[in-house]
Amino acid sequence: MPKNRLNINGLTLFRGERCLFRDLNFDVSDGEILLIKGKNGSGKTSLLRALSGLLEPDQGQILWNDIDIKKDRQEYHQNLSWLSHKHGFKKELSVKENLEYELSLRSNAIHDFDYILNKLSLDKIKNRPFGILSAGQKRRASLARMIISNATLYLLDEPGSNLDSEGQEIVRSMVIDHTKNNGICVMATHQDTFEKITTNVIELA
Amino acid sequence: MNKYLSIWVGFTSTVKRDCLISKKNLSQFLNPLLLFILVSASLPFAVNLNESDLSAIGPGIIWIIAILSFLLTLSNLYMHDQDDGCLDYMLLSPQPLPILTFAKTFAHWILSGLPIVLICPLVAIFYQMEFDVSLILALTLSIGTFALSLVGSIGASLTLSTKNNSILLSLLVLPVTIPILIFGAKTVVLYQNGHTSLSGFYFIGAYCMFALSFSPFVSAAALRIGSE
Amino acid sequence: MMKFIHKLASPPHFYSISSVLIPWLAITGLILILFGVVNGLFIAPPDYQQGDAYRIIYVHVPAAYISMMTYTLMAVSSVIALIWRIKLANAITVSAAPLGAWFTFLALITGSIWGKPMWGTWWEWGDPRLTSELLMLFLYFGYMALRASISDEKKADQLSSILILVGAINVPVIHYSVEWWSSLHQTSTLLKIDGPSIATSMLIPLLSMIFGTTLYFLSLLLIRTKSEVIMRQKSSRWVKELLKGAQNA
Repeated sequence: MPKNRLNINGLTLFRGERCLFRDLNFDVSDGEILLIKGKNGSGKTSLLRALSGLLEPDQGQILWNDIDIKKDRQEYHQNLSWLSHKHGFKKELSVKENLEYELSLRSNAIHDFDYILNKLSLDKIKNRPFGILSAGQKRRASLARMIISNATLYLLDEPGSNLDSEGQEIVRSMVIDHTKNNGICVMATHQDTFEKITTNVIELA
Repeated sequence: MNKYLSIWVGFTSTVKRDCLISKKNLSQFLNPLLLFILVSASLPFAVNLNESDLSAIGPGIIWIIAILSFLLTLSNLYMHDQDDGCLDYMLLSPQPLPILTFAKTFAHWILSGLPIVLICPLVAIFYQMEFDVSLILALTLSIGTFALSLVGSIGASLTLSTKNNSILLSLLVLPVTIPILIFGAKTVVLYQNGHTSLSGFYFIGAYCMFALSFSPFVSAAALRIGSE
Repeated sequence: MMKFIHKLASPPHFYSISSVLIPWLAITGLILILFGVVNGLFIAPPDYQQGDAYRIIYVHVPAAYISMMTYTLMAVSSVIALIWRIKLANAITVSAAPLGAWFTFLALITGSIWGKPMWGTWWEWGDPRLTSELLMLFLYFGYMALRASISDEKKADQLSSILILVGAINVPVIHYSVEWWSSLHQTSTLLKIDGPSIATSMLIPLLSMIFGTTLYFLSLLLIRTKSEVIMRQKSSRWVKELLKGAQNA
């Protein structure tokens, strides 16, 4: 099986007049976990958004398996799953209905996801409206979405925020499981709890 | 087998989801409709006109009130998605973004435009309009509100990153709807006076087709730029 | 040629070239306008149908023509800014908007003043040309309002450029509306295949006004764009040196 690889070449990003990072070069491939470290406001989220294609960098290239992500967005997004502090679920619909909508948009998603909800202790509340869930439950639902999407590349923005130590352990074990199955994880966080499991680190000033 | 899910599946599941949300949030769905009914029903009492004058101004008035109540829901088209983070997921979806924007626009028309179209023969009674005239009115409104959804989607996506965007949205969308308003109302008035020409329909239909050809793509581009 | 265009697109070069051009454009434009006004008001003969009332044509037509030309200019520079990412094009679009809005307003007002004696009404809602010209005024307002309410400059430029392009269909509609629908307006007098159908003695001041106003408009546009360019590039070296040089002078 050929390895998947994410290449970043010469990435430069400005916010207004301020330069967040200049000429950034790195790659990540199967089984690796990349940690983007930095204080608040250092550009971690911007770098992650640039990697996902949401933000266009001022200079530089992002290549997924040697193809520019701008050239084949569909292919890149098919292999990508995103997690940020805005959960991206509809509060009127139940967890199950939200997840079913997500998997209806992807061809490679996992259809029978009850065992995933079980593992994340969401099975009892899967039919409740999303709006009444606690912060920890909402985050676990986002994690469920990531696993269900069956994507190769996980991009996580502050995955441990608003979580107790049990919640953070769930994130850690999900990330480790994913990379054991040859997935790639890129995490942006200012917390130290994830450093032990990472393979590469980038620090933004 | 196709590598990606067909765009038809993406379209229908997005429309279904938006309708499902509305079903669970009925007040948001009913409010503009009630506004339309109340305002258009109370206007004949406010003006002191005889029967024939009332039925002459009826088409234009109902058209304008329909447009205004429609505009109420337009600013929410993408705003809720931006607030809860769903917009990012739309932008990152393997489905082409124009399909998703068109699906949301179509769902908006089903939820805001279609009820107005269905209820307008009832409202037309207040204006002493004949039943067949009110049917023509409903027909012009059906195409007109669809065109309005399409144009409104462009306006909503452009004004997403501004504050006070519902006022700005009205400023952008209302002038562009003046041609549809003129032709839509004129068609009904001409029918009332005995002409059965279809030229007004041709214009509204052409406007609608023209808007359809670029609205999903322009909305998608504006959403991408606005989310950077 | 490409080298010249690239040079022109660079802000400091644009600044120096336009500084040279502005006085020439303004003075020539004003001379042509003066000639047109004097000729049009006093020397050209009265119209056999309208008498002296037709003379407002010497303000109305140039204003209307420039209102449409400005929108087209904005549409072209929007395309250049969005596709080729030339930043100067954004400055041009922004600077042209208020000018275009004023000329549209002038065209509508002078048209309305002319309409009262000619057609007996200040305004006619069903008329396609009047409605589409008014729509263009709203498009200008919408552009300026949208730009003003988006705080990030890059986003503001791009989103309002999209608005201009969406409304660009209106310009051919204004122009061809007199042919496609029945309108109070007459059909084209100047842009006809067998030559203009207006008397030469009336044509000369009209052309003089059109050219003069265009040159004057261009000088105004360049003045506005110059200040817009300085505002946008205020932290760059060439602007700092320019301002320092102006301070020392």
